[in-house]
Amino acid sequence: MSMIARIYASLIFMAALAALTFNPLTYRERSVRQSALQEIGARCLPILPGFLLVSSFISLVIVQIVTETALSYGLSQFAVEVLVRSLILELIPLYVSLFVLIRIALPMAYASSASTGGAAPLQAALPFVQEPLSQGSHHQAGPLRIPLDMDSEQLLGRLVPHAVSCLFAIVLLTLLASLIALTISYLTVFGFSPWGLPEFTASIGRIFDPALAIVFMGKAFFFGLTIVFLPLSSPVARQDLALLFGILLLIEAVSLVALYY
Amino acid sequence: MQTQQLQKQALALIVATLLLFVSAVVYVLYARGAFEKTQSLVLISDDSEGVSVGMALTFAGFNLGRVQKIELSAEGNARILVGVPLSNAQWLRTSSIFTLEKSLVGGARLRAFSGILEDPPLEDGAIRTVLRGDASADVPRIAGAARALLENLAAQTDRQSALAATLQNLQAATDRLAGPSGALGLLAGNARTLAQVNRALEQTSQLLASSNQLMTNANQQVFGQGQTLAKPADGRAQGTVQQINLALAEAQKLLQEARNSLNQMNLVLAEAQAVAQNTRRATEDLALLRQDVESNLKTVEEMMQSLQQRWPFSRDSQLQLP
Repeated sequence: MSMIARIYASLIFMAALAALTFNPLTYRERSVRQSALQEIGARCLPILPGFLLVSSFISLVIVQIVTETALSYGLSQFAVEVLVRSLILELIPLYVSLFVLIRIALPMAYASSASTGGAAPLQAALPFVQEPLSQGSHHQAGPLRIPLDMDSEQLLGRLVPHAVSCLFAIVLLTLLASLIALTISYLTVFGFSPWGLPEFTASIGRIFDPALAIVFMGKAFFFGLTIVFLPLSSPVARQDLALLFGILLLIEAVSLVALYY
Repeated sequence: MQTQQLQKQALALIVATLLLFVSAVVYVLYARGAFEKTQSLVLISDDSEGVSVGMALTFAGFNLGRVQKIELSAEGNARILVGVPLSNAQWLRTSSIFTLEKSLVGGARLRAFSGILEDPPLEDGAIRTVLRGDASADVPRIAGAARALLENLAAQTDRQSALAATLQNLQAATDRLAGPSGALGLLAGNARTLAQVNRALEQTSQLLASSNQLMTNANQQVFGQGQTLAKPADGRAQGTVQQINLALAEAQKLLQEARNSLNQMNLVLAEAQAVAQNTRRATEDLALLRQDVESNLKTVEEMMQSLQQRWPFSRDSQLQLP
C-alpha cells in the first residue's frame, strides 16, 4: 500500500467516523447513548483529580511569573490581558489536548486496535481501500462513495462512544482549566477582594472580540479532531507521536497567524 | 448496577460541563456589554491611530464605556463610536471634555473629564471633538534637538576646536608653572622681562633694607631706645621724647609756682577787700558826719540869715531885673 493511498484511506475513515460522531441520528439508539455515557464516565472521571492538580500547578506558576514580571516593569495594568491571552487562549488548549491524547485517546486507540485482532481499525473497516487497484472494479474508492459493509458499520459504531468521550473530555478539561486559571489570575492580581471584578471583567470583554472567539473555537475544534480521530483512524499516527505533535503545532501556528496578522 | 451509577455520574458531568460552557459564554457576552443598554457618543478625531474596537473610555480611572466602531467621516476625520452604559452615563455632562492620549508604553487611552457635574447630562448620540495628546509625537523633535546638541558637543570637543586649543594652552601654561621659573615666569612671559622683574625685586629688597635702617634711626631719635647705628660724639643719647618729658616737668614746676603766686595774690586781694570794706564803713560815717556838718551849716546859715535880717546888717536882698 502506497503512502498516498494510506493517507487517503485514513482521511476517508476519519471523515466517516467524524460524520457519525457529530450526527445526532447516531444517538437515537439507546445502546449507543448508554455506551457513550459509560465511556465518558469511565474515561473522564478517573483523570479529573490528577488533571485539576496539574492544571492548578501550571496556572499558578505561569500566573506568578507573568504577574511578577509585569509588576517589575511597572506594567501591572496589562497583567490580566497577558495572562488571558497567553494562558487561556494558547497554553490551556494545547496542554489539555496533550493530556487527553496521552491519557485517553492513545490508550483508547490501542484498545480498539487490539479488539480488531491486532489489525488497524482502518484495515478492518475499509478493506476496499487496502488494495484499491488490485481489488477489482466493484470496490472503487472515492469521496462520494463510501460503501461500508456491516462489519465496518459495527466497528464505526463501536468507535463512536470512544470519540465522543474523548471530545467531551477535551471540552470539560478546557473549561475547568480555564476556570482555574482565571480564578488564580484574579486572586494573584487583585487578591481576595471583590473590587477588582469590574476591571477584570472589562479586560476579559476587551480580549474576547468575535474574531478571537471564532479563532479560539476553531483551534480547539481542530485540536480535538486531530487527537481524537487521527489515532483511531491511522495506525501511523498511533505509533508516531511526533506526527501528532507536529499537526498540533501546525494548528497552533495557523491560529496565531490568524489572530495576530 | 455499577454501570448505571457510572452512567449517572457521566450524565451529571455532562450537565455540569454544559452549565460551565453556557455560563462561560454568558460571562464573555456580559463582559463585552451585550446585556447593557447603552447610549452612544461620537468622538471626532483627526487621527484614530491607537484606538481599537473594545477600547475603554475611562473617567477618573474607571471604565465608563467602550469603543464600538471606528469609521471615517465624509470630512476625512475619524469617528469613534463609544457605547456608554446608561448606568454610567450620569458621569458625562454637556460640558465634559474627551481626550485621546498616547503614551510611550502601552496603547492609546480615551479619557473623559467632567468638571461641572451640575450641568445637564450628555444627550444620546452626542458628537464631541476629542483632544489629542501624544507623548511619542515629541520624540522626533527631541531626537532632532539631541542630534544638534551632540553635533555641537562634537564640534567643541574636536581636536581642531577652540576648546581643545584652550586646553592645550592651559597644558603649556601648567607646564611652565611646573618649570624652574614657576608662576613668575608664566606672568613675565619672556626671559628679559623676567630678568627685569627680578632686578626690580632685588631693588625693592634693598629699598626695604634701607628703609628698615631709616626706621630704626627714626625710632631711636624719637624714643631713644634700641641700638644706635652711629652714637653722637657728644654723648647726647637722649631722644626727643625724653627732652620733651623734661620740658614738661619744668613747665609743671613753673605752673606750681604760678599757682602759689596766685594764692598769695588771693591773700592780697582779700586784704584789699577788707580795706575796701573798712573804707566803705568810713565813708558811711563820713556821710553822717557830712549830714551833721550840713545841719550845722544850715543852722549857721539860718543864724546868719536871721542876723542879716536884723539891723544893722539888714540888706535888701531883692533882685532888680534890668
